[in-house]
Amino acid sequence: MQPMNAVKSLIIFLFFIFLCLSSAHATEYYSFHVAGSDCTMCHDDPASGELNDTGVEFEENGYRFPITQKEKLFYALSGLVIITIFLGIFLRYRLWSRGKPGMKIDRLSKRWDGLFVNVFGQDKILKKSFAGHGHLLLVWSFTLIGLAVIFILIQEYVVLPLWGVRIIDNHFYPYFRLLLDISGLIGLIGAGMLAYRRYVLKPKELDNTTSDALSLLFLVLVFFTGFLVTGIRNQLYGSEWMCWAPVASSLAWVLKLFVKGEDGLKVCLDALWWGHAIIGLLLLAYIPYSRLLHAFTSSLNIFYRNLEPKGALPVLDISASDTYGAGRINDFTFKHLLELDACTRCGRCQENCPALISEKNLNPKSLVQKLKDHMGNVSAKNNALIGGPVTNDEIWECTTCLNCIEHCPVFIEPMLKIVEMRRNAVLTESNFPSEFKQIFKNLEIFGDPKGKGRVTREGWASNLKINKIYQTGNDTPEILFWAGCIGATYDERSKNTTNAVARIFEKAGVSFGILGKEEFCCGDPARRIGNEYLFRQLALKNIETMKKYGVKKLVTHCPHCFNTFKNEYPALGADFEVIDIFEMIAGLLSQGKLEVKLKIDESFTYHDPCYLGRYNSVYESPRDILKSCLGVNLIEMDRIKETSFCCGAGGGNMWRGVSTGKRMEGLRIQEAVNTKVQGIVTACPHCDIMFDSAIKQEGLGYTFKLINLIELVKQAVL
Amino acid sequence: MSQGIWIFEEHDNRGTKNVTLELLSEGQKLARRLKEELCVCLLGYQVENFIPRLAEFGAEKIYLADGMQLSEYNLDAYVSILGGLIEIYQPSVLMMGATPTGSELGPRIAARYGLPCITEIKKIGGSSENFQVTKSVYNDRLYADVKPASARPLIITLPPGETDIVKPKKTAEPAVIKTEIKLDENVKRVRYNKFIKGDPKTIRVDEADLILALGNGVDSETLPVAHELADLLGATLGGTRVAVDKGLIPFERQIGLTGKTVLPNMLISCGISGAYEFTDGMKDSKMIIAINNDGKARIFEVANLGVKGDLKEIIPAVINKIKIHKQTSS
Amino acid sequence: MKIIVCVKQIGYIYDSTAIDLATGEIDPEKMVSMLNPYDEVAVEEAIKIRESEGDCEVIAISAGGAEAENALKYAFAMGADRMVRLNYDGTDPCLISQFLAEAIGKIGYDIILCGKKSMDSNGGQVGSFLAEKLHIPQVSGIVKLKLFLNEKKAVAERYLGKGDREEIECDLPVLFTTEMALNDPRYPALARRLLAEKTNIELLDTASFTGNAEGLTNIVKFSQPRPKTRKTFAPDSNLSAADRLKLMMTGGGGSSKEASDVLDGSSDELADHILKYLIQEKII
Repeated sequence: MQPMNAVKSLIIFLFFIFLCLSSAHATEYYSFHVAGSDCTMCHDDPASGELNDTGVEFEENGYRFPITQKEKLFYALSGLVIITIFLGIFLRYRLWSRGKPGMKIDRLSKRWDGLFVNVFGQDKILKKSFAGHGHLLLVWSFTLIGLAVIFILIQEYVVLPLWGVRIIDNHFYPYFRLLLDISGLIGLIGAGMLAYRRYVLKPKELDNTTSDALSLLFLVLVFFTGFLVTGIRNQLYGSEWMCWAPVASSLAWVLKLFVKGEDGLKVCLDALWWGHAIIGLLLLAYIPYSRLLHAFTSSLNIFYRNLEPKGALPVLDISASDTYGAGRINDFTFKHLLELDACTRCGRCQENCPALISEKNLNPKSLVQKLKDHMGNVSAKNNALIGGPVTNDEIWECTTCLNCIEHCPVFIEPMLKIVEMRRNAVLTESNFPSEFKQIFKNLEIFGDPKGKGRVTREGWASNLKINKIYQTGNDTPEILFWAGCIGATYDERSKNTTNAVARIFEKAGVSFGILGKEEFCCGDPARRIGNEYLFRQLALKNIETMKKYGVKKLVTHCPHCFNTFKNEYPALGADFEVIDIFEMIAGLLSQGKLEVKLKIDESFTYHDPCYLGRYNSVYESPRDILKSCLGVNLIEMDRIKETSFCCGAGGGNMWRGVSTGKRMEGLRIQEAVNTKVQGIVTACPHCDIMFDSAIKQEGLGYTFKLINLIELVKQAVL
Repeated sequence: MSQGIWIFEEHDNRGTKNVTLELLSEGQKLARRLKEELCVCLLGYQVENFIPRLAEFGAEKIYLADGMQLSEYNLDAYVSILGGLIEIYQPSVLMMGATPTGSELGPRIAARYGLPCITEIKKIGGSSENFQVTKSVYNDRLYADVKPASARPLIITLPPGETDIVKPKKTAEPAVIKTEIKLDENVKRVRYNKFIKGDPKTIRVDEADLILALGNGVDSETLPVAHELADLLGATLGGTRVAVDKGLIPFERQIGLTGKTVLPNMLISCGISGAYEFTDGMKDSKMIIAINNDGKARIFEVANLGVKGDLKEIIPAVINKIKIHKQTSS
Repeated sequence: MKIIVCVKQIGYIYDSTAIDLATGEIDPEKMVSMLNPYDEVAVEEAIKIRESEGDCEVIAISAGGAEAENALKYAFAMGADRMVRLNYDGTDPCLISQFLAEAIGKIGYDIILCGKKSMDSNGGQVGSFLAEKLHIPQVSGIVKLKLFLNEKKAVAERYLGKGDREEIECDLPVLFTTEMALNDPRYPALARRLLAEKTNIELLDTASFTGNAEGLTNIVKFSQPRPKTRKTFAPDSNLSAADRLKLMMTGGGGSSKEASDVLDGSSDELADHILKYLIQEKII
């Protein structure tokens, strides 16, 4: 049962908290202990060498930790804090466990790798340099302090009793002291950077709450008081360590300017010690009730992250059930609900969300936050999500471009939540934008979204002699070329692209065939709109056909089909290889099977289609073809590769009457025009359709070219 | 056996409808070929004054049922009167328009009197004992040759708007046979309440027969003249997604992939370049007139009449011509 | 209350070359099968009545071969309560309605809903025949329906074209045939679809029925429609001879949608062209 793993993680977390708490006196103890006989803790008068009560106790204890009244009180408070933390996390855990099971714990080594790379390496967070480095410093500060404490505890409770060896001795302690001082300093710098960004730079993806301010304030105060405690203690009892704790000492030196005499400093030390302890404890106690919880939940989420291919939606069980997808908060899985708490509101999803940029209602960050609030509102747990925290517009405005998932530093998947809600809207509630009804019916009845019928799928090939696999009998060609609905049935431009692929393959002597009228929609539109049932029907039909003809390799020029075949069909039992067409063409060009007869000496910009780029990380092969093979002067737009801006077609939005905000395709074309090139090269029939209409509506019909990469290759090689 | 080519007359408050004249035109040909009489069944209240016009279009005999009871159309009443006439006179064919009225009346008479009935026909051939009728089936993709199983009076309906109206060269004063109206209690089962006139301005764009579609080329300057033209023609306004975005028309009047699919008899597109998004929803319109200032616009690929020019000038010019035309013809 | 909905699984031909001219047979690959869209509207209306009036049973009935079960299942998935199939494979509206009338008479009914016509046979007769055989009134081509069950009557609006409607009041029981604009049929939820697969379809054998053995009409053969008679656009004398020739070649602007020519000239000339066209098309 997966929640058990969450419990284990919780125990690990609490252990970590315990370590942090122990640090309070562990480090202090060391500064005394290593100081030796000079220490005023055990000697009322160090010069006499006579032990005081504490000193006697310490000696009787075998030079172990003396527990004073002060520490007893501190431990009592710590106990309370731990209970508070435990309670806080337990309350959140109870909320998550209302979700359906569905957390994967396979591929453990990969998970640990990811955890280290992303928690200690801060891999994804560093994609944003300033904020990333600020956070990195903060994380490492805590990690180093934590490691130091663990080190001391191991030394004190394991190494010393067993072997009687002290690793941290007078020679080693100075470096140890310095390390802690530096850790504190980088933590302070990190917190400062984050505060500077949040309150001075004010990036628009961040929203500020009191809790954010409080968390930062606690952090800064903990570091400050920590430094002061160390510094003053060194002033009072261990002057020889002063130079090994430069930050602490300098701060203490400043304080000393305002405090008179040793007694005054002792009072200060006591006050600051308690101040440090209480602020520290408050900070810890505050974790489960504030954004700080992400240290736990985000790490957990990184560990349990989705390791399936990015492009694959989770398979939905479509056997008889009362409800499908997520109609209420508890219909989400444990993992989905955990993700809601893992969100740090960093806003990287919204910064890249085409729906938000084009001024629509959807904002992935606020969607996650609204769901989180709704999850916390236990009395509303049976209320429908749509019409409750989420509006209809929000879930249908998503173009499934994957930007939110790609950019989330802690592997939250807002898009999958939208898909789950769509599934519910379509399969359970049957309440979705009316435009999709005809699309569904066409897909079901005709096998393509526009209802053109399967015989029309061969029309594009009428001027060519192409093997139709159902005619070739046992002599199945090596590669199946999949034309796809847009390229085979309903868009003239894309039919030309399909034709171009066939002619390029012919020219290169590739042995290929098509399914022609036995091809049905791959199911991508149905699946992205939420109709898993229809997707399943279409996919199983296609898989059956391909098994019948023994298809081993498939290539297609539609990124949506490509993604579906490559990432989603295997889960339904498909076992053919899916080839990236651009890699294939690049290969044919480099092998000399295709020869560039006409260099395209023009400047173009290239638009990464979501389903090719982000979904399948195909960024370089199209650029290689453009630049090195065709000689195009490629000028990039601002948003490319991982941050490429969606054309607006995905997730069924090509067919939906969106009249809110601006048009995505228009924004993108404007971006392309701003690069001052002759035209835009695309690699997806969906983008072609969208940009075609955008270019016409912007009145750029004769000044700005729109061309599919395949078409460009054809012009160059034929 | 007394024979004849019968035509069921339909009228509204402006008089006999065009569909009846179309039936008469088609009926003349059939009557000539079969050498039978062309008769009209005229049912209604105070409808005698329609007879001259029917005669003008070739009616040789009128079966008249005129009475208060028939002041409104009532299916049961019409069935029993027409059925009664058929039982008595046994015509070869009863032709009706495939209108909302004809389409329910024809089959219901056929059902009551056990007569063969073929709806929405394209062509009628053969002799009165052995008619061979061609009708469109499968959404006009196919024609089917249908034969009545018996030589009893055949009821057929013809789609309106597909026949040219022709006047015969010779006409004569038609004989009028008046029928007594005897109705049973059944006619009260269905009662006519009122007529609701469709206002071209408010009806749904996919119900309209004539659409004036606006696009990107229309601006605040041309919008009022476009409205004037629509009023003048009785056209319903529609438009592209851009027109909706620009606020020229409300969303529910959007035509195209993301709006409504329309099939009007005529669509006049103004300032529409013809993006796929739009043409997908209107390309099956029966007639398309496109006005655009860009001669290479895609809209011209689907238009029956393409006109290149400036909307600002053309629309007022068309309005002017229509006004002149209306004055001269009235 | 019992609402009967008559449905039909139709063949829809999507390609204009679907017929083999030699044999007159329809190529099954160029045809798809679906629930008649007019019937879908009827099913939706029945469910709507049940939703607003409560205590209704919606019974979907279809006369046809095994393929008719798909229509029934779809109607059930939309929300019908029962599915009844009459095992009959013919096309004659008279016979079909005779069988339907007998079956419906046995089941009982308060309201009967039928699609205005089926898109394949394009007949539109079954509704009228059925109403006649059951001796009940009919209101055809309705676009709006309101029931007054206490008074046992209904008020419906019939569509007359061009947005015109007439309001009709009628007594129950009654048969309505539905126009497409009546409602927007729902898309069936998955649970109902799966349930439809498992639910028993009541099968009635027409052999026991008394209907007369002969129909009133027979389909002899299918043929491909000749290209539609084109509305010709009279070549204008203002155009050059070459242009006129081009217009004639392309059928006068109106013949082939792909090849129409774009007229250019002064706005006055162009307005003349448009006016001529409008007059020719009887718009004014």
